[in-house]
Amino acid sequence: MYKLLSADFRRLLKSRLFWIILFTMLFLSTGNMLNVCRQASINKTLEFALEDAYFMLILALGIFCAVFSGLFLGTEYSDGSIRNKLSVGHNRSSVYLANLLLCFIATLSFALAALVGGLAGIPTLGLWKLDISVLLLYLCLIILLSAAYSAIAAFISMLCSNKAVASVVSILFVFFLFLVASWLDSRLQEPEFTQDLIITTEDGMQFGDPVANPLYVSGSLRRLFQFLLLLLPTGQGQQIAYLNISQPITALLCSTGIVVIVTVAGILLFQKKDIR
Amino acid sequence: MEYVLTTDALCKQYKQFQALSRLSMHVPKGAVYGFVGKNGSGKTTLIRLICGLQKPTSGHFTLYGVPNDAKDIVKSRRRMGAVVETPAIYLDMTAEDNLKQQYRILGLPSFDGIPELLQLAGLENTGRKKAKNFSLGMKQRLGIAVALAGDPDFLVLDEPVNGLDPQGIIEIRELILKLNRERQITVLISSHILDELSKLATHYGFIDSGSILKELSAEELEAACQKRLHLEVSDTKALARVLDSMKVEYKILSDTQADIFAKINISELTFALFQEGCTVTSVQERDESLESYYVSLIGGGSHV
Repeated sequence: MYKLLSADFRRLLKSRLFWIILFTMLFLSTGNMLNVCRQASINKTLEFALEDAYFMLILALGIFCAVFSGLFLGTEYSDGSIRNKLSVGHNRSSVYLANLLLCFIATLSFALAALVGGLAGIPTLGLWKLDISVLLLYLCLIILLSAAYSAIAAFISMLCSNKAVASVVSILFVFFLFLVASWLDSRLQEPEFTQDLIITTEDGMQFGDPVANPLYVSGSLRRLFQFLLLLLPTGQGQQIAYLNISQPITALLCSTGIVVIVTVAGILLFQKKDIR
Repeated sequence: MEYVLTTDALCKQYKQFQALSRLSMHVPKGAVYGFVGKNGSGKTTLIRLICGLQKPTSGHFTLYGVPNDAKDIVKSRRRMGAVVETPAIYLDMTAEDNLKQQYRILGLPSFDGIPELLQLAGLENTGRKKAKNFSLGMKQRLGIAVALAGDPDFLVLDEPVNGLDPQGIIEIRELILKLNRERQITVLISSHILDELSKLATHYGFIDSGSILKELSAEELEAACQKRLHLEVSDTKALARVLDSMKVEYKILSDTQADIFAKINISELTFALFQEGCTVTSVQERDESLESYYVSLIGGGSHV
């Protein structure tokens, strides 16, 4: 597998697509941070910290990973080079794992570019006010989140022989996960009680009695929604971006679980795949 | 005889479609094996199976004596190079970079052999030109060069001259002959361009509907492709009477045309026909081509 990784890594370094996505991520992250700095300098009443926007671009990591893997790994099929690897005796597991690792390296590079771009806020906002252990925890979460995104993207790209279809399916799937995560998050944000009656009297404002919110999710369903939000890479991405990850260890385990399950399933299906 | 590739009752089924049906073939070492069949007959499917791109539904094959289900098949595959359908090259790389990439995939320690490969494929002057800007013939030659990167002694080429111009066809033909003669590389070449194949092959395998109809050497094929005399006469009934009396194999094509599959004395025949009141308009000697042999083999016609 080392031979395949070596060959693929060389191709990655020469890939225009990789560098375009990497610099796009860097520019977006820098631009986002400079915008936050501008707002902070205009509105002195609000206290901005570097970490408030530092992880924001991690939200887009899944899309960048999907675009990259669909086009980069899809080229293996469209140019037929995957045939060269198999016909000279490399086994299918090695080919799959090498491509997965390459996808992971690329996605991690995009995440690093986002973090490097975020450093543009230091001159205005100063260093992180977060504890170093918390900062390291978020970095670990980002690394495993990159691995989870890569596992899903590699799964789609390695099992779909059509480059265009693989790219579209990967991107749509990430958008679908975004929608699900957003829906779960919005349901979990629902307050338990609402006070929708406001009476204005001579004594001032008077609120009605709190009413139970029918949209509030409680009990085991709430725990399930919370788990699903952690399980979904897009859900984790949202929580990392807004620094509100509730159960970091569970999140790390969820990402690891996704990587293992998706990769094992991917390898098993790829073993049986008829390659043209 | 030592065989590089043998297949035994190989089957491949795609859902409802039986692509290979108990296919058995034998590719001798050092041969240029012409794998002849029409489109959809199963040529590419067989090549995909032996390259490990797909797995047989049943049956088995051996590569250098190693069965396809043995672990060592991987080692045997390292001794072969293949171009399946389109050449497997990175279009956004130069010819040299493509070869370097294949060298890395193979884990070869140095790139010393690349200039020689480029020269062999006639691509030494392509410089920084990317493969996507190559002509079809250049891409095909680069695909062959990539397949040769591991210094294989068995080369599998699937329809290598498809879509090429006459110059491209000649270049590929010369390259294949050079590889076979100078490097003793066994070549399995599939094609439905029979005329081209007849200029290369030392052995033939005829495939139809996923099965091998016949395997034979070029010498055996030459013997099988017997010469014939094509005659135009005023009355083929009279001709038939004369040929029956001469005990000669023939085929009546129309009221005025017939083929004779034997060497006969033209003067005697003409005289005998004259006595039957039949005149000879023309006589032509014709060779049966690989094409007509193939057509007759798959049931497109018969000699007698």
